[in-house]
Amino acid sequence: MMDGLDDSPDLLAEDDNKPRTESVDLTKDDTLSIDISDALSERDRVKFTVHTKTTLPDFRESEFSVVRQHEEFIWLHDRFVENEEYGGYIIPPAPPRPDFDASREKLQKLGEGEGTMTKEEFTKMKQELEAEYLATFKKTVAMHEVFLQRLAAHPAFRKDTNFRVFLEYDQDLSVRLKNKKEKLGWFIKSMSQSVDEVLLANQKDADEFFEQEKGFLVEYHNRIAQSTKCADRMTKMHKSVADSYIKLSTGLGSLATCENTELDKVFNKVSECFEKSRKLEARVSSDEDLKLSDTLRYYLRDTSAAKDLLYRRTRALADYENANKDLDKARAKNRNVQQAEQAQQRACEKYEHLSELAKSELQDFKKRRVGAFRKNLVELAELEIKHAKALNQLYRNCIAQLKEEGRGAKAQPQ
Amino acid sequence: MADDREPPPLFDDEKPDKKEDEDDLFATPNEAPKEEIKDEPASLPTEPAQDKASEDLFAADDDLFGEAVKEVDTSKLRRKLTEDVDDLSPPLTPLEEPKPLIPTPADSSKAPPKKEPPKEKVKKYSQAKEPKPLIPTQADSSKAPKKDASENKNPPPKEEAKKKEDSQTKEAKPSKKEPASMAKEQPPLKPMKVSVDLHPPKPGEGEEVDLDSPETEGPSSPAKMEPDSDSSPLEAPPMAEVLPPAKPVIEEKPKPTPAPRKPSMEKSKEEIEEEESGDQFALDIKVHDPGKIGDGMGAYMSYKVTTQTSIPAFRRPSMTVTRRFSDFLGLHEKLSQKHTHIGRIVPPAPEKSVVGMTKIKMSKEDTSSTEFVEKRRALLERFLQRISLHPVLQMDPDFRDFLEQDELPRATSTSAVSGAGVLRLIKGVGDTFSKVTIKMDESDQWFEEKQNQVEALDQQLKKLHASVEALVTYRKELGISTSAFAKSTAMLSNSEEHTALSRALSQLAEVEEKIELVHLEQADNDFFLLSELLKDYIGIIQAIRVVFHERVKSFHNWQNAQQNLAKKREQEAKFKQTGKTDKIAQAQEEIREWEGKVEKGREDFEEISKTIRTEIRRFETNRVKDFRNIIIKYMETLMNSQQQLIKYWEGFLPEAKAIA
Repeated sequence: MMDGLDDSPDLLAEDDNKPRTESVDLTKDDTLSIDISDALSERDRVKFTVHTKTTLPDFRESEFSVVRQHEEFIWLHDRFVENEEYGGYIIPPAPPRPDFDASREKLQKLGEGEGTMTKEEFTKMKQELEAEYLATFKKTVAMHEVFLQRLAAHPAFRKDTNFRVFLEYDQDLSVRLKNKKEKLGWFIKSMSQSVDEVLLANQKDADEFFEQEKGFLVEYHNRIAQSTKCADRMTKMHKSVADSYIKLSTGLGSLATCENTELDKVFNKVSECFEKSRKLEARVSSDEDLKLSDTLRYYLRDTSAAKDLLYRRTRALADYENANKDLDKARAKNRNVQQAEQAQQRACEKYEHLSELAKSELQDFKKRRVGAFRKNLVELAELEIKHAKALNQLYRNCIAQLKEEGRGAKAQPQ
Repeated sequence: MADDREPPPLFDDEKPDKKEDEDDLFATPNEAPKEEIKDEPASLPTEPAQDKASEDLFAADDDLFGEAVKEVDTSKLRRKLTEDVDDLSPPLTPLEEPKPLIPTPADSSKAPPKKEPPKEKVKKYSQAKEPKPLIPTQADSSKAPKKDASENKNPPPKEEAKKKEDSQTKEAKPSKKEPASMAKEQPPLKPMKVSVDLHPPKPGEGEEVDLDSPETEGPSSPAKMEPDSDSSPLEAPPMAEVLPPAKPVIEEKPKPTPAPRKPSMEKSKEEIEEEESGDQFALDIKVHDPGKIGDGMGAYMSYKVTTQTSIPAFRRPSMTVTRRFSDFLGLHEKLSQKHTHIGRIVPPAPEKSVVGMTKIKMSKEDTSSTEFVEKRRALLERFLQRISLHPVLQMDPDFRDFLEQDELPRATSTSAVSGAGVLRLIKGVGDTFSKVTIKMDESDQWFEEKQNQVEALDQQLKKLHASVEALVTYRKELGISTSAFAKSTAMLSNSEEHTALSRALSQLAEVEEKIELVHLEQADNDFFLLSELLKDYIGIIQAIRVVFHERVKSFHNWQNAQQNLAKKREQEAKFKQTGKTDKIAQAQEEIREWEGKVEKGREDFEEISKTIRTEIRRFETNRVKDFRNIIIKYMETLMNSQQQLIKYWEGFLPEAKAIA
């Protein structure tokens, strides 16, 4: 009946030393291992210390660290996207921008509402926000780390020069934010890609595999986006429930202070119980966020990267077909035949190369996705069970104490 | 690899050294209670077979709210909860005055920075340190990082310290990263609030009640107290006679053990009688089968009221009548007319809800109106049950008529727009006015203290009620968002091409759907157990206030009579002086008359004071019982929810593991 008591002292203790998002299951490879050993949050930026250990001859040293900012990560990502050589690969999605505005805003709001709550409530609410902020921070760091690790694990990307510079060059890379012109260019480019995607939507694909993948990815992307949104809302509401336990707990506490009967004990016990259970409920919420929402979010972005890959391949296919037409025309007119032949040859090679790479990349993507989902869903279920057991035990003890106390009160003459 | 990071303290005060606190969370399930029960060492708190006392607690529960809960459980209501969400007070509504807190010395250092929390500080971050939601202790903040490092074995403390230094020196920023210094830098944004307890707890009041008021109304008082029950004058005497023989009639259902209490208590005979009559008369009332009668704006709700009783005054042991809402209001009206002015606390009747009723009138089968009807049904049932538990009110002929008579004269005076309603309104205004104007120097310390207590209780209950309402809202939202997630996951599983993963996702969707129901059910429990309990008591406190005010009015009448008497005496003296002998006789007549009135006023005042004491004691006894039972019951629903969650997730785990 007291099941799960053996480990009960630890139920509230920190469970995992690595509460980070692990959306990607990366096979460890000693030849190039990267981690972010330190991260500092300054006013409006975060500085990541990127620590590299390698046995690859390309690097001058075997172990070194550099300090990088988010913009430099983005710069690196863009280099990969722009490099045509990598057209056949899924470019690992860039890490999201560190965003603590939400936390700050909430904190400010809390500060404004300070007068409306008791000191105790305020302190607890503040702690919750701090914990939230910390979690966001850790997640941000983890996303940056995962980005680099995926690059490091990739047979082609790991050899990239820009990547090496990013890891090795111990000065500021002096990447600046895109200026207006570049931003506009980027915008136009992404616009034209979308337009192109629409135009290419009717592109006939001889290869059934890709035809199928395309359909799958488009639908999958939409649905995973929806799922991510819903999961986020769910964890947020769970957090709100946990936070409202704070008020319940303090409310019961102050009720106990003005209580003139033996109920004060009851109120105090229950208040204590809610104080503990809100911590557990908050843990449930953050674990759901970590294991569920983050997995979904990561594969939302990865799916998008895979879609980009398919777009590039379709583009190449269209180019190839156009080249064929050009060649036919050239042959018919018997003009520039050689030129056209060469162009056609190049397009063909590019297309075939892309297709080949894309095929294996997409299979990798699937493998990666399934692995990550398995890992995180198992962990999610385990954590949910663990927390529910802890809560169950908590309530059970509380009820037992209340009943015991009630019996005691009855036995005593009033 | 990443273990040497250090966390960025959002604020310097967050110190992960609250561990001991958490450790003993579950460690002492047995110890604490054991100390309390020296006489019953055999029974462990978690013994599955609960002993008598605890069973009794639940039995008593069932009397009051069991039905309500059972009704709520039916799943038909679950999806309808959303509608009323906007009725509930928004989260974080400003509450009243901050409540008494003991300001800790640490407060000054952790005064909240209101603006731009993390911005200007360089934050450190460590994988090893967990973002525990910790209560910052006043532990020296500069010490804390070290302590933390040693707590987490992963990074050797030295290394961590070195790392920190490294990064600090590397940064060479003006900002010192030492948390201690940050504490000093951060100005407390708001002046510390020292909250003053306006209502200091008055310990030992409970006992006082029992000791200093043995003069409660005897068994004869019910008869005496109802001189105006002219509707059935015959009933009063039998009632008084009925009391003794009814005692041995033990109800079918277990009652909150009066047995162990009785012998130990050395109360006056009257008290025991009174409590027994409250406890032992079985009067089991259920309100059920709410139905809409008629259509359009003339439509109304009717309820079946079934009573089972062992009280001989009833003609049958079991009866069912049909009553409409206004009948309940009418009953309340009649009872309070008869009993309030003599100091009895009449349980408050449910409020009219124009919005709720209009919805019912307009719509056919609306989810929110079903919810509304169920709420009201439970409310009406509790209203009747509370009356039935009152030793005097349960004997009131009007109450009996209400339960027994097939047809009741239509209660017209309860309509909000009727003439009586207007009169009531005027009277209400008058009362409020007189509350302001009539002041009474409280000579009775007991009353003064009780009034303060009741006010404090009222304030706290209201605050807590608002918190619970917020919780209900959030929990419902959680249920809804869980449902949305379940649906989106089902969609995702449809398009997932990997068979095993797709299967697992669809299983996850199913689990989340079940969890949605757990949340919604719990939200119902939050509402019907906790929130309604608080609301009921807020209502009862209002009734207590009215009774207190009645006492003030009675005091005032007495004082007025005295003043008049004094005036008359003066007059008489004047007449005597001036020699107007012809008027002396009349004056003396008047004096006698006023002497009588003074005497009556004094008697009335003493009577009402006495009654109120009894009533308050009863109120407190019931309140303790009610709160204890319902809180335990509520905690059990929380526990059951978690057990369901365990079951569902344990069912899901193998599915997740089966992804290959």
